[in-house]
Amino acid sequence: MLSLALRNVVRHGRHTALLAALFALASLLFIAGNSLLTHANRTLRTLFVHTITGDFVVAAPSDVPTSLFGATTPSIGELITLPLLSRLPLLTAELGALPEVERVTPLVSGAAVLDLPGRRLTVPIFGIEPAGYFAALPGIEVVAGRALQPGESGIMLTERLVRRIEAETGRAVNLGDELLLTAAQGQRFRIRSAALVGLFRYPVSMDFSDEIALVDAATVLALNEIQRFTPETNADAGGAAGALSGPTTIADVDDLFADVGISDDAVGEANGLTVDDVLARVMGPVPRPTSGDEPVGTSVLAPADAPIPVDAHFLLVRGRVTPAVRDRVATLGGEILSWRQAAGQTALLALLLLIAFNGGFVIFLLAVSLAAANIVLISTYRRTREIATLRAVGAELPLVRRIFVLEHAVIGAAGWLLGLGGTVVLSLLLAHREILVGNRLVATVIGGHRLRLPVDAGTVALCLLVVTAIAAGAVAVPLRQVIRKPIVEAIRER
Amino acid sequence: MNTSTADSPGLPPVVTVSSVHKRYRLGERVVDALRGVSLTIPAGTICAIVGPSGSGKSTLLNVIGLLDTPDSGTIRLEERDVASLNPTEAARVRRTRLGFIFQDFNLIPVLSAFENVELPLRVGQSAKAGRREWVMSLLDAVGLADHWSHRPGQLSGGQQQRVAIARALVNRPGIVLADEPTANLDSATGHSILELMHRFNRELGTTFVFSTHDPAVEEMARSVVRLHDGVVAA
Repeated sequence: MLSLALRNVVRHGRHTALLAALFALASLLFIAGNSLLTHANRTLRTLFVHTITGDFVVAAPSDVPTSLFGATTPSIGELITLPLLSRLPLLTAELGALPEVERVTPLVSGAAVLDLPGRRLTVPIFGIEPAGYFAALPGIEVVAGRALQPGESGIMLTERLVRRIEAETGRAVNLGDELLLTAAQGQRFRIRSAALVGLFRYPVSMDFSDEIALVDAATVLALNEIQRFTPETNADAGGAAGALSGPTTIADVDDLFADVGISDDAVGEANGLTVDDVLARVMGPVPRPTSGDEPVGTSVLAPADAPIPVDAHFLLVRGRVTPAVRDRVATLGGEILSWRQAAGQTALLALLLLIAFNGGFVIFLLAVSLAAANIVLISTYRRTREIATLRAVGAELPLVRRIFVLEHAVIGAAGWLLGLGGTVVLSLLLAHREILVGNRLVATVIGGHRLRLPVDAGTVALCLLVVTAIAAGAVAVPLRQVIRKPIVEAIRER
Repeated sequence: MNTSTADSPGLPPVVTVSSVHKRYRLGERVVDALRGVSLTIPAGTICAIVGPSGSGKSTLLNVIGLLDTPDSGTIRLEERDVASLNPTEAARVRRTRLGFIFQDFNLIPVLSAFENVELPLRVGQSAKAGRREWVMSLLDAVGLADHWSHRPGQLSGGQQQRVAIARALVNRPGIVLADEPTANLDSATGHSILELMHRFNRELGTTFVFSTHDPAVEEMARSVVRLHDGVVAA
């Protein structure tokens, strides 16, 4: 029957060409669109899982959706809603002991204004415990200087951010530079300094991830202190509560200025600094982060001690989520966020785009199906007499159906092949011609600034299935109508 | 009841039709196409069913050929009652015991002469061995061996009907039913088609039953059944 079907496909040339072109267009859009978005999602997953979130994240339960970048977007005001994990040491120990879990590392999340020479910008800051962090996220590549060391106060920036700022300002950012971080809310703010110890690179460069600053956890905790004064987060602050109510806590701007004396040294050092730099310096000394009962108040310019975070917003985990892991986390007052939830809007947006694209594509496929059904309807009715002749010479109905379904499945497959060929050509063209996407959002959701189209094998296989099914399905209804007709009537059709 | 027996003494009946009724609805009008037709056609004969237009010739051929079902009555093909077969069984009988020749040839336009003749064999999924030779020998017998690769559109009406005859014979059926096989042909071509039937009847022993309203064609038959207004005329 296959040879009969193939022969019909070849000899009903116009019908075949029309249908095949329709299916080729559908296949091209399906494969190209899905490959692009699947690539973007894979890229995002690779980026996040190996360098930012781990396989999953444990967070404190929250009424609002949270991510490592804050409640919604990484801006200072919104970070106040991030609750702290109340039983961090126990969670760390117990999760670390589970066989499904390979590594656990705490993360303090925040946002701060970062002062670089000639440029001030708001960046997401991740307070990390270096030993665990870099072991859990091996995708981070240190390209200059070194990684933060356990107990060290310091900051690491992405190479791309530094190079961009250097290019924009014409001023060098050097390893060892003391950089200022300022966290503010309303009229309250807090300033910390940390030395730039290294530059790092993510395997995939994206605008939002390029701005991430890795800072020792103690510094971020200290910067976040200001946020703990909000009533809604005070209750969640857990271990920080004592620090908030203790005598060493600075509550507002007046407190910050309480012990300020502008020294000659400070003035002298101000030469060449921006107004903001000077202002930041005269605001010191400000308190150091506390690991318990350590008094705050050491100089912002002084190197920090080596505090291990006693508080963290998140635990980044490498391992599998199993019911046992979920139970343990829930028992200890945490909740599990997938890497995508932890990644925040970017990853969710990419997923939504994929869903939206496929949603749109379902509608497009419906249109293609209708168009195909119409073409097939006409051609099948035109072949009423041929079908009746087949039946007259003894073809049973299942055989007639098989011939027609096979015929159209072959046309669908031919269209798919054409569409695949078109996609491959497009992919090769994009590989050879560098097309850059300027829009930041678009770049993020397509997995980078350079437009690429790696053809995804799974998508190709799925497309073949969908297109052949539509093609074969399109003939089912008209064929049913035609074979219902009595042979004696059908055989006289012109 | 109108009964007719085509004359062929000594031969067993290959078709027995008993009290067959068939009624059609044509819009608002009800047409009694067959009204209690009974006839017997002996094996190995050439039988003409004759009558004016609308007398029920085609309807009778259709019910004998299982392309249509009678409202009542029985039809026996080679002693088997076939009037109430389900569609699958009817298709099997058509495929194995019957051959059809249509007034409009009904060749499949995208297939070559060879492929059209071969079609019933493909449909019946018969063995491939010897198939090509058999099809070519039939095409040779109808004088179209040189035209085996031509499509129907490249053949004349007479040539198309020859292909249709070859197709009707390819499964070696006991009975070939031909509905006005010469109606669309000129008289000379029609005559050659009937001669071809005679030849196959002689050589293969196939029973040919054809309908016609042409007296000249009627003369070519060995036995005649006359129909008038759905009944067998005396």
